[in-house]
Amino acid sequence: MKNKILKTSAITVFIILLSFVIYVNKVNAQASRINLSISPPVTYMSIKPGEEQTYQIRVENLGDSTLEITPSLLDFDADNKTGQPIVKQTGTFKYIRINDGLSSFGESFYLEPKQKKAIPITVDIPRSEQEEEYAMTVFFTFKNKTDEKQKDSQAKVAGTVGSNLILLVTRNNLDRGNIIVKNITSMPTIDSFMPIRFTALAENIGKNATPASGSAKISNWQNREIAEFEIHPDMILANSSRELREKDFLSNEFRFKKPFLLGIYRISIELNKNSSPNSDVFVLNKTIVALPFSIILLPLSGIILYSGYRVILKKTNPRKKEVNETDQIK
Amino acid sequence: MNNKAKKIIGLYSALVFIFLASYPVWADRLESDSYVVTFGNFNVTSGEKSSASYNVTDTVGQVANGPYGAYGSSTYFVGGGFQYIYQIDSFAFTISDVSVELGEIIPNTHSSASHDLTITSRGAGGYIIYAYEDHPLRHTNNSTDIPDTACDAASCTISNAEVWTNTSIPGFGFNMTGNDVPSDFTDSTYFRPFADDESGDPMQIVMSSSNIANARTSTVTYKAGVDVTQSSGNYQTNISYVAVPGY
Repeated sequence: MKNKILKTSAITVFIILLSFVIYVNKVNAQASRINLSISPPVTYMSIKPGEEQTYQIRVENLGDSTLEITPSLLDFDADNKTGQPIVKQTGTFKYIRINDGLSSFGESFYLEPKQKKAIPITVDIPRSEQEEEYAMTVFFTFKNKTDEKQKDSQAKVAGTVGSNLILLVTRNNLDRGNIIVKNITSMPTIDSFMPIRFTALAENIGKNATPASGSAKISNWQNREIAEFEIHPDMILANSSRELREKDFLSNEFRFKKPFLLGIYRISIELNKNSSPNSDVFVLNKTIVALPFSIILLPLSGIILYSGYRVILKKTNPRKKEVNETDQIK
Repeated sequence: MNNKAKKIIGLYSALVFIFLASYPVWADRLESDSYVVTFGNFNVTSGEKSSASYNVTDTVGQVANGPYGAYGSSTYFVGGGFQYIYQIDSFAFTISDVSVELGEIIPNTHSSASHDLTITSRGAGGYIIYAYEDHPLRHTNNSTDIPDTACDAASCTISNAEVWTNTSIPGFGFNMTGNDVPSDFTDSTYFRPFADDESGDPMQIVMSSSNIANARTSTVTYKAGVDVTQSSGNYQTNISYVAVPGY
């Protein structure tokens, strides 16, 4: 019986040791993985000249190793289409600093696994500063604090995540965004069996970022509305363009399908110029024509094909021609 | 075996099982310097529903929800209700391995290594990931470089991938597969050189989407090859991936 107890105990101890070894190996295997999360991804701030404001960016190390994190600041431009920033190689905005008394842009700090840190960012605008909107990204470059494996590797990899800041320096709190619809892109004529498809590009010619709000409508020749799409409230930065998206599917292509379309249709985009309650509405229309090309073209192409076939047949069958000529001689 | 011994072994096994099966559960107190959430929110239903192609959030039956004020037109903006939690969501970027080990590179053969990039961006503005290298793969004594690849037809660039399978053509480049990668990476034989920061190349886009990204993952495969004239030794560079959220 003693032997049995000893055997059972030995097996149990073996299982515990095995589990421990598997656990340790699992941790080691993940040591080179790095994962950083930031919040919020985008901050919109408006500030008066002579004022100071602070907001926080929270960074969290979601990986299993200590990270060395270096904050930096770069400007960005709008891509004038999708709302994705085109990051510049310089940071020109001077009145911004990390305000925790410990770190600053360009200086590294460490973050343990699963640890969070709130980074206070202070914007301090001199009284003499002009009214303007600035678009910039606060970056956090992160890499493993120590990684023996990395020393011998050919390419050492580092990650960087950004948190965008769209800062409006303004003397009052009026929304001076001014959105217009630059163009509606669609085929001028479509087949009756095809859907109406179009895209629209909006431009903000105002002084500050403002959300697109309004709708796209399609009316038939009787001026009866047959479709309406709500516009997704994407932000359009000052002096930039952005493709409008319909709210339900977040698609930049507006699409209306009916079994059969015929006649003149009007696409109409109505956008509020800004988000203030009494905002004017900008309207742009485009007319398209739906005709049953496939119905017309199908018999037409049949006639053309048949005629072509007859011509080829005539050319490649000279015997018949010869017979005719012989008949004439007779 | 008597009953007492059986009981001891049984109890011991149960304790071992509990020890192995136990898993830590983390609870968090919802607080910051300015608030503490001590009570939840009453609603009929709420939450986040998603598939591979969409994310939907909803809150039904909540009292006092809605936006109060507006950015730009008033001095404050309050997003009241659970729904606005999603607007202040996080932006997370994971690199599965920070060491690219191509091993010993033998002349007229290609060596490769790969890792994954994963991005989660709940904002409807999407995201963009750029890449660049500090400089081409450089000998640790700074004497010589392995040049960035120009691919088989000497036609690939930092913004256009081309076929690179000829092992007699040396160089260093990368291929991408997976979600939201540039369309010029037609298959695993298509490569691009990295944007060279030292030469003043602009950063190159390697992943992008204008929609919500829920753990979108791509695989980067690095490849290097040398010819017989290449000096032996260790070659290294730094590769950076820059993830930026849309606005």
